[in-house]
Amino acid sequence: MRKMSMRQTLMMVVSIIFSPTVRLFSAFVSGRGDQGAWVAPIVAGCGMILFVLVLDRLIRDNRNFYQHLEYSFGIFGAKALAWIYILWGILLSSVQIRYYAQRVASTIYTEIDMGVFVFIFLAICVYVLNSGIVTVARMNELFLPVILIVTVALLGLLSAKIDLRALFPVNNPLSIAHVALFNLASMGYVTFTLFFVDEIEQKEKFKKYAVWGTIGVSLCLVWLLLAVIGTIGPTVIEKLPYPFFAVVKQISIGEFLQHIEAFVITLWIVSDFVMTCFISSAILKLMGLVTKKGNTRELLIPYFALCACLVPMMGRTNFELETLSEKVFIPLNLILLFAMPIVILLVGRIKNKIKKHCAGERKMI
Amino acid sequence: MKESISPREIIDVFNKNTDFKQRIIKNENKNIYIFFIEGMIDRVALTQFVIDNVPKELSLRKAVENGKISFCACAEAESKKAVISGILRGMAAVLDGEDAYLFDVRKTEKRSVSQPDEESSVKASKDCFVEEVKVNTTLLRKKIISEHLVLESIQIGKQSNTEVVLAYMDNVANGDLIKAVREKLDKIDVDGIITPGVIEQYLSSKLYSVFPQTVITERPDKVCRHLLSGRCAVLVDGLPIGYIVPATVSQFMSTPDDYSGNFIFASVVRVLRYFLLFVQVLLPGAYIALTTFHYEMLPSKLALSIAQAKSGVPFPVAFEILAMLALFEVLVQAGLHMPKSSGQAVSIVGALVVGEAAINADLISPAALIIVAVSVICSFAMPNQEFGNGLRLWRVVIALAGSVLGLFGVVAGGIVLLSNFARLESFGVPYLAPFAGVKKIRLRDELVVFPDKLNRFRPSELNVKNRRRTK
Amino acid sequence: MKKIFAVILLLTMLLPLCACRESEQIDEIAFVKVLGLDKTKDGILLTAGMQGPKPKEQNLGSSAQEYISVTCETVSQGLSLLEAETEKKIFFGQINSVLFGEEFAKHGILDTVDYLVGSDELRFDIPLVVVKDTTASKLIENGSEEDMHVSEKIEKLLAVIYSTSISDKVEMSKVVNMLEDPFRSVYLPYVQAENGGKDFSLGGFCVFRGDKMLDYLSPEISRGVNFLNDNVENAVLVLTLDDARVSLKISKCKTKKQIKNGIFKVDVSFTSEILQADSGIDELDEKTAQRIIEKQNGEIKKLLEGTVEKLKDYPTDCAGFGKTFENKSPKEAKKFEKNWNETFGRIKYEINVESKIDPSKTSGKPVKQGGD
Repeated sequence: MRKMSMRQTLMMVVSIIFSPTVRLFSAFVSGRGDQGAWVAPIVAGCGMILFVLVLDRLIRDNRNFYQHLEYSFGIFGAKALAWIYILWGILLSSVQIRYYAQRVASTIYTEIDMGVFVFIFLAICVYVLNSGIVTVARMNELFLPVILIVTVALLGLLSAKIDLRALFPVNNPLSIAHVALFNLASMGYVTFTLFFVDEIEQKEKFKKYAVWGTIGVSLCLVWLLLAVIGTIGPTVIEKLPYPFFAVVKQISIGEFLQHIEAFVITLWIVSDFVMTCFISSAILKLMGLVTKKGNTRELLIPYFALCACLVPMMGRTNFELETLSEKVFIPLNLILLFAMPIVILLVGRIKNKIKKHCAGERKMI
Repeated sequence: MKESISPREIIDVFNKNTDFKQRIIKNENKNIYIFFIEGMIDRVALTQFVIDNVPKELSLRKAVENGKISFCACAEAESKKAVISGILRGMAAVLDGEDAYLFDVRKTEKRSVSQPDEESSVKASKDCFVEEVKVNTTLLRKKIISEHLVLESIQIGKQSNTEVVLAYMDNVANGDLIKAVREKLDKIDVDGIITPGVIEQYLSSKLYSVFPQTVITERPDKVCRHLLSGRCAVLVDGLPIGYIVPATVSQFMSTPDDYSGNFIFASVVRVLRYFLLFVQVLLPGAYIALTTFHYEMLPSKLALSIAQAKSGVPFPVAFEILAMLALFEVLVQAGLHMPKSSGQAVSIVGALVVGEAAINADLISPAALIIVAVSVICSFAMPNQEFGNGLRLWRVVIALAGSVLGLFGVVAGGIVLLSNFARLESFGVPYLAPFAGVKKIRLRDELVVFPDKLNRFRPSELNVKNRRRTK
Repeated sequence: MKKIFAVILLLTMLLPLCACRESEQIDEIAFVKVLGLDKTKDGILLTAGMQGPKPKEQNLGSSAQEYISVTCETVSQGLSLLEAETEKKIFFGQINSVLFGEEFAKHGILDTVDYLVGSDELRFDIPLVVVKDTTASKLIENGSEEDMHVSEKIEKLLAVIYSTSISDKVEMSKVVNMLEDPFRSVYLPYVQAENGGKDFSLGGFCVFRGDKMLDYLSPEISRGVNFLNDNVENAVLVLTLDDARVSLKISKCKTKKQIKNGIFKVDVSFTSEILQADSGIDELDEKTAQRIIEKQNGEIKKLLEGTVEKLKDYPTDCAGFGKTFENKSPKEAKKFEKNWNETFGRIKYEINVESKIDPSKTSGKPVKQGGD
């Protein structure tokens, strides 16, 4: 079985954090955190680093996610929880695909039905995933630097237009903390690393890479929010479905480079592609473990066909989609991606202690 | 186990061939038969060193062992098959019914070592492989004078019995790699190896890929450099090329001249090559996408200029680009196959027809012609033509995708192309190594040229026995 | 192999679903470079100044310029009607500026700005400009030259305005922020037209109350507004000192506003360099320099006081006093949200100006006339 390195896995996690935060985050946060929203990623990053320590413990146990569930909750408990994760994963994939299609169809291809983009996107996912998640990991090693370089370049160009007066004063700590939770909900995708533990090499490097990745992502997000809010102000952002897209429209270097939003949208497609493949692979792997089916490749087409059917049901408008994310998926993400691993760790440790205690008693007897 | 070989059996095998010759020398013990194929042997050597020295009183075995028949290249043939194979290879077989010896008095017509045609270099060595595998192995031995350079000979081809040599450094190359290559060569089940494609197909892990999975070169210095890095090479008798495995993308983007001069300039050139790779694949598709779907991305003056140039042309931009790409491919093929004497005429016709007349007749716009010309020139800047051919095909696919779906189509095409690279492996080494798929991404000496003085380690993705090149 | 053929066939059959509807040949597109909005009896006169490719036989210049005007009730209706007036597809994404006629600006710009901000194609950094002494439509009709479109002329004017600071480019996003902010009033640059729009130049600012235009400010007062908003890059000041004239270039200008004990304190500091002085003024003399500094401080203080008084007369706070108040005491400021402009008309303020002359830029001893 081909394996991924820890670096490749966490690079994929960074890519999949990029997409939802860039598209969704700035709208959420500016509406709720106002001009001080740019502080939120720093708060979220601190929380994330603590969570990384929890995940590191779980990864070092050398068990994948399902094995952890079995160890902590028994076979039936594990199966029930696994099916919850599977259902959630299918819905999550569908909503992400819907976001991607909605974005493309409402920004640069306004006259085309989003079904075209859904179909082509899923066809590419099936084609690529046929050779395994390792292929996507290798592709992402080339995608992510390009995405980062372009994003940093765009933010650099936008920095000249930042009006600092739009960013201060920062005077609403409670709402910033609330907004930081939103950020955490997307950073939580790092938990999917647990699903692939048996396909990852260099597990001992997880803590180092994850901490540095968190710091990097948080700083990037801070800069992103500074650029978006500082350029057009929080009141305008609230009205826009895709603030970063709107802000990128402003970038113009002389008469040479302008209106590059179409190019940026297509870069996001790359990030969405990695995200869909990563999450889908994790869920399919979990399905394989639950149903004890070795090769889940034949489930690819049914899985994506199901997602394609669910895509139109995720909401009719962008507003409904955002409300669904805010009310349903963000809390679910927080529970399933954060709370659950912590519970698994605690239950596992308690079980270990009980076992050791019982073993000690037996020895004495 | 040695078998006794009857001269009659050998005669029966070859008697229909007019170039098969036999000489019988009467001896007190037995008749000594000398068999050879006329035209493949050195007559003087055979006469002087073998025929003249065949004793009339001693047996053949004693004559060879005592040095009566003294010739440096002499081997005992242990089976009829070995005798037949030796005769077919141009050796002279000497039999007396009990023993059989092969004398290597070959004198085959061969090309002298000359300059490479396709991989010419300004400063690096100017020798290239020839059809004779013995000459080729000699060229390798001259560049690597080491007991660790191993040249294993295998015969492949049911009918052709072509000699194939597997070369590697046994103190460097990974044992698993050598074993895997040997197994692949042993599995080759063909009539004969006449064309280069046969070996390449068997050494490739994925048959249905337009990208080469072996590096084919006519340069011995390139082979030696890769042998020293821990790779294996395969040389085939009758083909003036060597195959290097495992193959990665970075190998197709480097040339021997990169290491011949100043490394800084060479680095700039190599980075430029990678840039040209993207340009040649994406430029036509991006142009179609920008002028058909995303014209807001064009600065207004440029957009107006392109629109001005295109006004009056009846075809859509996508058709112009695809037709021009097809026409350039036709020109390339014509250039490859036409006689040299008509080269000038075709160049003039191509330039006039494609350039001047088509634009004046408003059949194509100048902008489209420039885009396609730039893309084609970039493709010829690729050091490896097989790799470049694959990219040319994908260029058309991406242009089609761009014409149908704009930038989204270009990106989708790019994703599929990259996935093709990402899934390819050559003997367990990812095709995208060392940029992706390896434990440690390495840009030095791959994206940029590193001076040999600082290039102390061999590539990690090859899992070589000895990573350190220098002390 | 069969699988590959099946996939290729499927993809080919799906080609009709492709995005071909979105595609348009570039020579069949007209790029709108400037949009003009005027108020008429029937509604709105919307004028689009466009650029497109010229027929090949006409080699002069690089583009064909044309304009189309339509009468409509709303801006969105007008933009749709424009498509019907031309055989080409109209692209609005390259609009360089939006011009408001005087009557249109007086009637109110909120609905228009709201619509334009929500548009997919338009950028947020499009400057909004008011047209004085003619209509936006006439300016677009007559303002273009053979080799320069009216939008390019306006763009160039706005690009070099930093050298005099009598006006400024005000982008659509900034206008939205100002409209929504209860503590800021909108101000937009205006162009002064002559000869029916054939010639025009940047005037200054026009001030708004809410979304309705009130009045035009003179260039000097507009410069004062820029000073108060800390928006001056360069300015030229001409002083009279002992009947001699001194031209100074003001740069490195910094304005800070604070509130202390209910009084707005405005501290302005800048550096100036002497560009030209009449003979008789010895630039190197310290006393002379000191007098010049005092004089320029006085002039700027007078200018700023005049500006604040003018704004208080309307009253409309374009100078950022409300924002200063809100930043200092957000809770206190909330009480004045609904009628800040009236409150602004009654504020007390103090202006303090400090400056220095950059000695490295002085030209040296003046030339003095020797004989007759």
